[in-house]
Amino acid sequence: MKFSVFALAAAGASVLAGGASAQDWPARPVTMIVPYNPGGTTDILARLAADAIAAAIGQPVVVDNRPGAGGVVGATLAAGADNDGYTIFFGNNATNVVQPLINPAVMYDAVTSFDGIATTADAAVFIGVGSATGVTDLDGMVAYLNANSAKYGSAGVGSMGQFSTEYFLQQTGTQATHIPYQGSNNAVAAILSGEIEFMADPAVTRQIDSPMMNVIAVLSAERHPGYPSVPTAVEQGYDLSLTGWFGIFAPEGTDPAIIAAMSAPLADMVASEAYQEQVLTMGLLPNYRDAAATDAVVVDDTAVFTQIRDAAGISIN
Amino acid sequence: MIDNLLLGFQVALSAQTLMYCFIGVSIGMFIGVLPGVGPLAAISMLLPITYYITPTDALIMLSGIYYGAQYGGSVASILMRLPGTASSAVICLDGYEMTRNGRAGAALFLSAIASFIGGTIGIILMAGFAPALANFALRFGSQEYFLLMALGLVAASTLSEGSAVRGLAMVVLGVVIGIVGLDHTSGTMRFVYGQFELMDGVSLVASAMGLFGLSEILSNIGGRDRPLPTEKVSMRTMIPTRREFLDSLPAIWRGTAIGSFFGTLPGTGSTIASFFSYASEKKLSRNRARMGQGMVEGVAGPEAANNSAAQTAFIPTLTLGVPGDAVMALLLGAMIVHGVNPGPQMLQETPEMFWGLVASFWLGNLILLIFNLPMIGLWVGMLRIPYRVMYPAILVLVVIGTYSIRYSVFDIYQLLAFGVLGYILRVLAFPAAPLVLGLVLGPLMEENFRRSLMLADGHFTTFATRPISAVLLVAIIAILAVQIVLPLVSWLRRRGEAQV
Repeated sequence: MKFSVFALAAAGASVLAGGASAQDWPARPVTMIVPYNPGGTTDILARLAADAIAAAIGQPVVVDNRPGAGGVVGATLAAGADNDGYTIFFGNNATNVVQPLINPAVMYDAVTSFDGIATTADAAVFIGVGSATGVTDLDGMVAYLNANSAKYGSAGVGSMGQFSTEYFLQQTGTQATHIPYQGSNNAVAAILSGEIEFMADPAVTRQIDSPMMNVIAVLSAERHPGYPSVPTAVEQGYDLSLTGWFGIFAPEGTDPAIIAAMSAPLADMVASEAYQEQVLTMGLLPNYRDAAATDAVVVDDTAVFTQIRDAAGISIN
Repeated sequence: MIDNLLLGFQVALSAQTLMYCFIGVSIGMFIGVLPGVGPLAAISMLLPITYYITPTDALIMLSGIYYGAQYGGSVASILMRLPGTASSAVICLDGYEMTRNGRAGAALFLSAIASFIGGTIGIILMAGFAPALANFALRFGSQEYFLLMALGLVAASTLSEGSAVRGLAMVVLGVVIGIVGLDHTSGTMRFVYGQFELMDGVSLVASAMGLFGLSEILSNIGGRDRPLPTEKVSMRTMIPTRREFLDSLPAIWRGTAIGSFFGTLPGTGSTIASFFSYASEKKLSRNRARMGQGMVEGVAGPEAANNSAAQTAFIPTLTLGVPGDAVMALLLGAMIVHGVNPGPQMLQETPEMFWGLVASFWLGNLILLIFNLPMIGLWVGMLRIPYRVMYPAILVLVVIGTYSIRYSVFDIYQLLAFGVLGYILRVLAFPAAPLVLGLVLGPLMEENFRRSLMLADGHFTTFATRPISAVLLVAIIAILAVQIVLPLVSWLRRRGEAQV
């Protein structure tokens, strides 16, 4: 009885206080906008994060799928939402770095429209080469590219695969023609059929055992625990490191205390064994960055991707 | 082979697995009947629930939703001219006419039989020749895809009743509408006008439901509440006549062959298969002259095609790890989450999973058949509901279904716009089916055409120098020649006779 009187008083105080501040937050469920269809990689990760946040803040976190236009529909909606801590966004480096860089129709800004809460996983990019080329490592790849006019596939214009490959070509001083496909899977099929020679994409890991494709390198700092046989580019003497990531954001200007309250439980989640196991099964790498580090990775990646974009001339218009 | 199948049935026949198979196909059947709600939405919503059951059970259930939806999709097409899935749009043409002729029961019966035969043969192909078929499919590159689509469009002018010019005009309109959205080759936006919802192109489901379903409702507004002829539902009127049965058999074989082929090709699938099957019936069936007036071939062929395609679509997914469409990509994702690694090694590493799936697919098809036949009486009985009650209910379902695809109100506006367009086309006697085909094939054709040229460094000879594409090219030229030369010859002859 005593408790409920107290709760009532607290509720009254919060009504009097009016706007949203860290004291009365969360008074109602939080909405998490996910810019892709349910069931996909981003959605699965988003739901894990939503559950972890909900358990910590004592209010439900409702996932709201808003797919379309490569994630831009959901991201635009989230960027324009009230910054009261009741709307958050589960994005990735495509929605929060690449799209604002290549698509002039995108109205939000990568750096200033969102405040980072945390990242929960990284997506390592692997390079797969059709086995007909005889290429088995990066040295061989560079030699092949110098001797042949090769073609590479990607999941589309402005995809992570196109950026990664262009980055590789720029760093090694080689050239290849970009052939865009609709989605990674169609490009993988094109390598198996010999239509194109190579691609850089997380999806090629499914072909590690295939006799038709050689997976020759991973562009992350360390080898992927799920695919320990694939050496990193750095090991092979190429200073190439470029990873995708998945992260949670709040509209710009959200109270830092609210952001901290949602970031802390994600650190515990990413550290948990069950989460790590699940994320590795999906071919990803668990990786927590706190709010400041998430903001920093957006700034850093924006610089790197701007440079790649300008050198390769990647754009949607 | 026999050992493998025994292993498969051992897995699939355990009480628990059989239950999940039953749940899957029932849900699939149900969402197939509901207009607009497709297997993609249902599978993605159920995916999180499956984390708590074994991987095999989970995949058997989710796959059941996929092929079950193909069974259900034709019901609303036949009864209400309302395609439940895009792949059953073409079934509206003769299926709904059969209903208007009082043969709704027979149409539903034959569609269930055709589905079962198509599905079964698709499964046999999967069991016997999955790796070989997957490797055959890999021989189709961008050049072959382009020519296949071109062949489809050439054949599409026959989709219309009456004037081929009107059919062709509608194909072109479909291709033009298909241009809207992000051009995947150059990354250029076309006719998007700042609407991000249009970046992914015009919604196929909204267009099919608007053009067929909504236009039907619109054209009946203000009309008399004319009830459709309903037979007294008894076993006798439900079972097709001997003649109907004999006419539909060749259509089923042809449809199955077409469907099995397109199912294995990544990036095509059951919608294209059912349209191609209908086009081939317009050319090859005994009643080709009367197609569109309620001929069984127009139901049985496409229905066999989309069900066999739904089964053979698993071949590239399971044996290469390359999913052919969005639903297959989602199922592949589900397998990976469950720790199964589809690809060339799956047959060796997890044979019980592969053969369990194969066996469960057939059991699922059997359940669907047994489940469907007694339902026919119930479905046909729905025709007795007066329009003034039925149509508002359908409108609500159609709008919810369209919204559910990507939770977008914008798609509902698309649906309404296509409903109005469909009504105008009906009044002017332009056929809607070639428009939908143009919308499906146009973007695929353009993408593959431009990619072929990029791959060949701009040389148009690339279409003639590859063996499979050369054959397709000759086929297209032959069809065009027959369509142009034969009428020309007979016209010249008539002119000659007139002068004599």
